[in-house]
Amino acid sequence: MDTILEIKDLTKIYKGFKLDKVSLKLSKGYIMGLIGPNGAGKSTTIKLIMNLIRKNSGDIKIFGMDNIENEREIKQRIGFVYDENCFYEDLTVMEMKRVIAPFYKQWDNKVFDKYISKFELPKNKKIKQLSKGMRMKYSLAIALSHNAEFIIMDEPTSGLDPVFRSEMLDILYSLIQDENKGILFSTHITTDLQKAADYITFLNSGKVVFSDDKDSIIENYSIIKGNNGILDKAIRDKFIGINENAFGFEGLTNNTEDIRKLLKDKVLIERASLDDIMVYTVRGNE
Amino acid sequence: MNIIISNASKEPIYEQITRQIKDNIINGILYQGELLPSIRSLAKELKISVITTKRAYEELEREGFIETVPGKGSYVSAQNKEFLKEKKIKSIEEKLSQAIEDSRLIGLTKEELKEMLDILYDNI
Amino acid sequence: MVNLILKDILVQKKPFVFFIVFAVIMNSLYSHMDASYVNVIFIMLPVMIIIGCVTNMSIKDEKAENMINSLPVKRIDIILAKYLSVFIFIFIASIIIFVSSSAMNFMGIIHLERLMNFKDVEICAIITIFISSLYFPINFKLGYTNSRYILMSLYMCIFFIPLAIEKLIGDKVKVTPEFIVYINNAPNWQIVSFVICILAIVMIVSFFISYFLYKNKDLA
Repeated sequence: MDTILEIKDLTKIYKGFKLDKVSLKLSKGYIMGLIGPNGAGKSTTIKLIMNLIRKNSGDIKIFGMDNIENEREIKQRIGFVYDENCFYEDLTVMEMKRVIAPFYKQWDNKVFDKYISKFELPKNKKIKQLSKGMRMKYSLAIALSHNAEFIIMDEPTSGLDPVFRSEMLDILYSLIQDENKGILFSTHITTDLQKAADYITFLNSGKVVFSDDKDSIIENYSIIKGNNGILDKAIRDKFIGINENAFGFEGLTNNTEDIRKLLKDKVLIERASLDDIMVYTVRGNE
Repeated sequence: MNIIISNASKEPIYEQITRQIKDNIINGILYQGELLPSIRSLAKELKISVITTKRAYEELEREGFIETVPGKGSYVSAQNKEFLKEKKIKSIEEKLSQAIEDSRLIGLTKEELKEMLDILYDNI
Repeated sequence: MVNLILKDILVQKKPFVFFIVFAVIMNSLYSHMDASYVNVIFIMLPVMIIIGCVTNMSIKDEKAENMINSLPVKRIDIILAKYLSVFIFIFIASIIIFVSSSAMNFMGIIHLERLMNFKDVEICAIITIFISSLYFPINFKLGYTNSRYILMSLYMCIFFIPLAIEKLIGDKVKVTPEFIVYINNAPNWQIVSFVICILAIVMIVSFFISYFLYKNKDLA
């Protein structure tokens, strides 16, 4: 059973927002990044996976099992990291561990201690006295100390500096050396995913724009730059979004080959970053 | 073995890896039968996706440069040096044929072509 | 399950210290306690502590709600644990008051007419289980921040209702503290069993209401 997470046609309706038939699949041994602008539905999706909110329709299967029917069994194998600090702030690092550890059958104190010293977390400090970065590392230490096969993180790096984010990505890389684990992490910081992710699902306004392996996405999308005079209707149609200014245009396309054939040397073709893809897709032709 | 990835280059990352590993094999830095890093550790070291490294290795395997043994890893193929040599020879033949055709078009003689070859070979 | 209850106790570390200090201070305010005061103190103090624990538990749990629900537990476990925690709180509060008052009595700091006994514990239990049963469904539905005034009101009612009844009914029936004395002195097992049955029913109904309210609630 190679699939860690499989979501089919997941729908959740709120007043003014709808998560519409979201589908995605994550296999063992890979990292999937869930990107999208704020309010796209990333946190909603994660909360639905963790059964914190109830779906309207659709299927969520984790380790091949339904996420509601086998909730307890599944959660034994999931390590979660949320961005808002939701621990008991008055407790110390070790006390909080003593509260959480008994819940997990496979809790391993040695692993926990290893992470605590690796992350240089002060054992006897109260959680509310830790900085934001240290709290995140603490969440991660807890999530990784019970042999979890699926690590799910909701915007774990928002508000943290690039140095810290790079450290966290290194930790993820080390984790994924174990082919039996899978990682899903949501973020709106695309540069984090640009390097680390194997698969990327892009959510916008509650819908999946694409869910593919990162290489295919990067190969298919390009930034095209050229003179204003070149654009005609046929060519505009091939673009997802175009930015025109007094000195030329810049646009995003996923029809790189067509553009190359049509315009050849008249334009500059560059690789699109995930940021470009996200911004152009969301802003379109503003 | 050194592999340097350029993010700015238009060449897809997996191709950069494939090319550089091939070069390493040709140059003898990677010898026959040597165990290559696993796709995962390579991905970790280069800080890229494991799908990319997997693709690079699959490409190399398809072209006969490496062999993958399930459960153990990927090894530099025994035959490859000859294989590669033959491939390069073929490629050189093609390029020379092209050069010859071009020469004929502009009326360059065989002697003039040979002279050009001497000069270039010594100076490049 | 045990873990959930354990967690509710472990979070009470700081409050416990406060409660012990509070109990000592309260006890010492009444250096000579005759029957009427004793009856009230031995009920009021534990009730305050228990409701304090429930309040603290609700505050802490609201903040950690997402985390707790992400642990390998089902919603029904969480609900059940809350109700069972109340019993633990009753036990702990009784111990605190009993030990502190008895110790102070023994050391001569105060004079008690009698020591705390099981009857007091029973009455505390009745009051607090009743309040909790009324409060928990509201807490599960609305969360702590939106329902704290309701909890406060329930708690204050317990002390003001007897006085209010007294005012309404006047001298015809004197309530506090005679009412409590009456219950203390009524050795009628039937009354006690009857009360326990009512409580059990109240608690079970409350539990089911909580379950249906919380089972499918969307957590923020």
